[in-house]
Amino acid sequence: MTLQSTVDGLLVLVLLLDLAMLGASRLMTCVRLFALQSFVLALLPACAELLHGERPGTHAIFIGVAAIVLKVGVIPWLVARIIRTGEVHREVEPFIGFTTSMVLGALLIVGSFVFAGRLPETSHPFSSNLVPVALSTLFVGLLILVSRMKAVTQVIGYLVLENGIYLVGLLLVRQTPLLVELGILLDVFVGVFIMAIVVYRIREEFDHMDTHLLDELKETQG
Amino acid sequence: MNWLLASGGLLLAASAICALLRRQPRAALRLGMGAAVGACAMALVPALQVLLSDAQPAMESVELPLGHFRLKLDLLGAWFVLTICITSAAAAVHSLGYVDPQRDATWSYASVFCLLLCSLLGLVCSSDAVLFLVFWETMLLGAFFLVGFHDRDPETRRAAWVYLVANHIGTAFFVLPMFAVLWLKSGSTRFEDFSGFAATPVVFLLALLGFGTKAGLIPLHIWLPIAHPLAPAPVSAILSGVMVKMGVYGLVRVISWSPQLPRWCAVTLIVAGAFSGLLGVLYAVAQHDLKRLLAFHTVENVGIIILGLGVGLLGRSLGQPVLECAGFAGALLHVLNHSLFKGLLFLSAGALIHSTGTTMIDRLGGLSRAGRLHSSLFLIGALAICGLPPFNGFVSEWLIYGSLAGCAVRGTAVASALSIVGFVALAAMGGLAIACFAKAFGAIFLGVPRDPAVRPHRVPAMMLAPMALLALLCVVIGLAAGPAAALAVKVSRGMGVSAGVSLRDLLPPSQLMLTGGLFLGAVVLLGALRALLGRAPAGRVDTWGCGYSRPTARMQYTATSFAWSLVSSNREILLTERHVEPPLGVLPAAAGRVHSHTPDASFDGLFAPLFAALRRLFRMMQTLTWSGEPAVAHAHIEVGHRASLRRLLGAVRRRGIHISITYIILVLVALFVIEAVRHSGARTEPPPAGGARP
Amino acid sequence: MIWKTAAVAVGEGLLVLILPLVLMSVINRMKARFAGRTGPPWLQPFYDVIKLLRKGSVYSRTTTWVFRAGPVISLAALATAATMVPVVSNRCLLGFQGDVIVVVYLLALARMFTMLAALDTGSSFEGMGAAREATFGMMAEPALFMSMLVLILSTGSLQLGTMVGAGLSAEWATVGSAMVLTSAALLIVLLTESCRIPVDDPNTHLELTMIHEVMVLDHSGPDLAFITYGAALKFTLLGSFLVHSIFPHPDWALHLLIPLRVCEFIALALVVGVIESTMARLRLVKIPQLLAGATVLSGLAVVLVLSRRGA
Repeated sequence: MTLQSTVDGLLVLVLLLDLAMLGASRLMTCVRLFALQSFVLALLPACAELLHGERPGTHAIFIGVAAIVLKVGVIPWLVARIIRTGEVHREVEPFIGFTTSMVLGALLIVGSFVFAGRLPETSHPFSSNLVPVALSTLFVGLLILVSRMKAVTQVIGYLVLENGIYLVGLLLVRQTPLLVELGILLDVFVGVFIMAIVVYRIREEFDHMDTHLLDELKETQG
Repeated sequence: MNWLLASGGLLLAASAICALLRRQPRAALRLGMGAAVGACAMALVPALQVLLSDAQPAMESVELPLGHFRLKLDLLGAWFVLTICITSAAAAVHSLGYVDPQRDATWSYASVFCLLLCSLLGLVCSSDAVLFLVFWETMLLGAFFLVGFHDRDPETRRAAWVYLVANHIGTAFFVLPMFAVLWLKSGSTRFEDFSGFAATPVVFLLALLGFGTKAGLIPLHIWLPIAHPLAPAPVSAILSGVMVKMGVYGLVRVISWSPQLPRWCAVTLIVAGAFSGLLGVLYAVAQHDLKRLLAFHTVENVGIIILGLGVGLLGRSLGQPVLECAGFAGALLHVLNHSLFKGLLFLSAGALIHSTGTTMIDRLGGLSRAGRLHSSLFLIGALAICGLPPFNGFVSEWLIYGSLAGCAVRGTAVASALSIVGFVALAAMGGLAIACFAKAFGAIFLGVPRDPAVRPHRVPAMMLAPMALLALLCVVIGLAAGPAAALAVKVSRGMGVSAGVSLRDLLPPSQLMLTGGLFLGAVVLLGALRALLGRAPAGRVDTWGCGYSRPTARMQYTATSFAWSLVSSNREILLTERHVEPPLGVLPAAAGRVHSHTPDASFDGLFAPLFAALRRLFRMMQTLTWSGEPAVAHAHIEVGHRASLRRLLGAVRRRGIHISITYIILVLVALFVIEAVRHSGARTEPPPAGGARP
Repeated sequence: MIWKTAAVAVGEGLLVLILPLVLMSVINRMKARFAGRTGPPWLQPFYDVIKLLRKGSVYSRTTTWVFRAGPVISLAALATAATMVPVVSNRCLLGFQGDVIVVVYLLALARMFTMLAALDTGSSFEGMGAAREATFGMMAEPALFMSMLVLILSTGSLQLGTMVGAGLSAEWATVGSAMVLTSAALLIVLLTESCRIPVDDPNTHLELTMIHEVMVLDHSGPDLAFITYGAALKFTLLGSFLVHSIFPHPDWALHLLIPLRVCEFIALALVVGVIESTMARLRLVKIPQLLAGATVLSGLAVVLVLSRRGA
């Protein structure tokens, strides 16, 4: 198994985790799958450098470690805390059914592959699967965001979206300054923190976390 | 050719005489049906001559004031004549047992039947646009009278009108303009002069829509499940087995006039065929009435035929004559196969009505004991329609599978993807058809009778004989796959496949015969082994009920329950409504009730609101010229339409946040796609990925 | 020379005939080991079949000729399919382009007749089993066909003998991930069609949990022997798709290849035994999701193969 096929295999694993998240019916399963996906993605910059024939530089290692600490450790812990303190039914409640979401996700993946074939070739990614996988992760994140009722799952959808954007950023791993990468990671962390607080407040105020019921703000007195 | 003219003449004469024989219904029926059988036999002679030998197509030509009376029997025409004659002859003999001289106006049945048959034969032989349209019209009118034969029933009258209106819309808006365009371009109405002018998008689309309405492509199929169940069974056999093939014939003719069609035509045909087939069989699974189930299966099989035509065109556009040949040969063979087994199934349904008086599957059961031959023949038809070896349905589907796989392997990326979609769709259709016919055969013929009010009579031999003939042909074509496929390949030359292309490079049908023989040998061997091993059975007991001591007939699995898991997993597509009244209390006094209904979404969602809107428009125009009170609101027509709109708005309001997020995302994605497509020409631009945040 | 090839062919055929029951025995003993027991004797499935062949049959008053013909026709279809599938070596008795579709449809014919025989008894149990079998069989077809498509696209041939032969080794080197996905999908289809956990429990006889077992509830004597053997044969045929895709060997000498293949089959049986012992049966509403997942996996493999071909 050459390094190239290992990297290809890791990207396919990322795709499989996307699909698995679409089909998972328990909230904790979704969080763990996200953690696993972030772990795989954290390994990729180092592998990219190895593929280009040089030892992984400090930049890549630092990014990898920061990503692991934040996206595999802290953020899943935060989200798990939200689930534990907030949720009575720890089940994902989708609008469109698990099988349909999985089929839609598969269609989005096929669409990304078709679409990526038509994009102009500029930055010579280290694997021909990188752009399609990045696009599919993006779309799957959007699909999770849109098709689930609970606020926590929308947080997870946003996180998967971030993973997709991170993958696209890997295209430019040499060019992006370190500060920008750190800025992105901080963004993610702060965003999730704020979402955790808001979700907690919603739960306190309304006794449930279904965002679709937030439309119906009614006057209860007078 | 003289044989054909003679058979046409015989039919016209018989039709006229039957119209005079009002007082002798039995004689009229016998004369009419006998003439039909005789005419079919006479028409088969030149058809077989053209098909089996290398005879030149015969030609007759007479000049008339408008257009010419030109008849030509070439390979394609001969194949369709074969299809027409076999099924019509079987239906004619079956009518002798089905149509009741005491009750019905037999003279009109016999007369119109002969006229219909004459117009069908004329249609496939005509070589002139005006003549084609004349025969098309008489075919539609004849079928209208036959569909509405039991006209004391208002539902049947409505079905006949729906049939007439739907087909005339198809003819008036699509078929007529298509011929008009061809006439304008080529300057004449002769079919030979059309070659070369037909390869335009306009002509192809008009042909697809117009002939697709006749053939029953979704969503233009709405008249099919309304008209076919209510027509008398032999007429349903002709409608499903022969007349939808006239739509296919029209499409095949248009394709044969255009040697080079652009790739998107093949794409359209494949997508339309796969979509129509899948939806058709899904609807079929959810039906409670046997004839409606069979009508939806016709929609599915037409989808398979169109899929075969599409993959043939795809092979042609890829420059692979073998794939083109396999696709067209598969589609043409399926035309014949489908008319055989669908005719058999509808004639069985007719025998069922004759013996029990109903076709509601959930009221029947255990009929295999009452009619062993009947149930065996239905089983052969069911196995053939599912495409199982060693019957004929498998041979044509195998050819289409081979062509799809070949296109997937040898085609460009888009062609590959499309063939893969077609391949998997065909597989899904096969699985669903198996489920559907296991349900139908199991619930009707196996088990014990469910409704004690249904008491089966014996089915007369006059009805069983044509069914046996059709079943025999199904088996023979399935076992003799080599000659059948070779004949279909020969006919596909009429569609433009070059001579000398042999299927052996892609799929050897002769080996299929070997497999069929091997299977039969295995059955015989194992049956002999079983007979040798089995001593006298240790006794006949009641079915083991896992401890229930008093199982009743109502405890059997009904057909609805059988299909329920499939229907409920596809509820979003089928939109089935189910009403359940559960038994109440600990010791319930009355049994519960379950009622489910699957509406035809194209009808309720698309055409019914359209016609309702048209009706309102005409009423409005009427009230403008009428001084008096405004027309009474006919809310009953519009309730369905308004209710669905209200439901939609309510759903949107409830899911406001998600809808708005989805909207934003879709707009962003659209911008993304447009930008990328715009920039894809310039190769030096950086990819406008969504990650350009810093 | 010709006697030698004939003898070899007959030997291979006999091996293919006894391999199904051997695999059943391996699975049962593996499950027993996990449960802490020794398990039945190694030759128990043979004893069972022979015992059933010697018994008489009890028929229900409700059944007709369909019930009696069902097991015979199913086994005949499976036996005909077995002539076209390469099991222990890379050759099969009968092979031609397009035989992969014939094999899959023969398996469908076997399934159809088992369902009809079940519906013939007029009992709600068998009807329920037939309904479930129809649904899950229908959903497994696209997954099976998609996996077949991956093999067809990789090797460019429609003949099973060449599809699962040496042509796949190159595929494993280039699009290994696609082959892994296809093998996973084929494993799920194998577990579904041969009615193993997590889709069905072959040991239970509770109506809430049976699919295949409940369909054959009323058969007895030689009919039941045919059905048991037929189920084992189906497992072997679908398992050979899987084994040949995971371990594509070129045409080595037969005295090396055949024992290697037999070992691979036994390894497959051990894996299935482990899966059966460590997993619980899925809820019935989850099984369509599982099969949709299998279809999606093999669809993904198809996309990977196509993009690799286009790249």
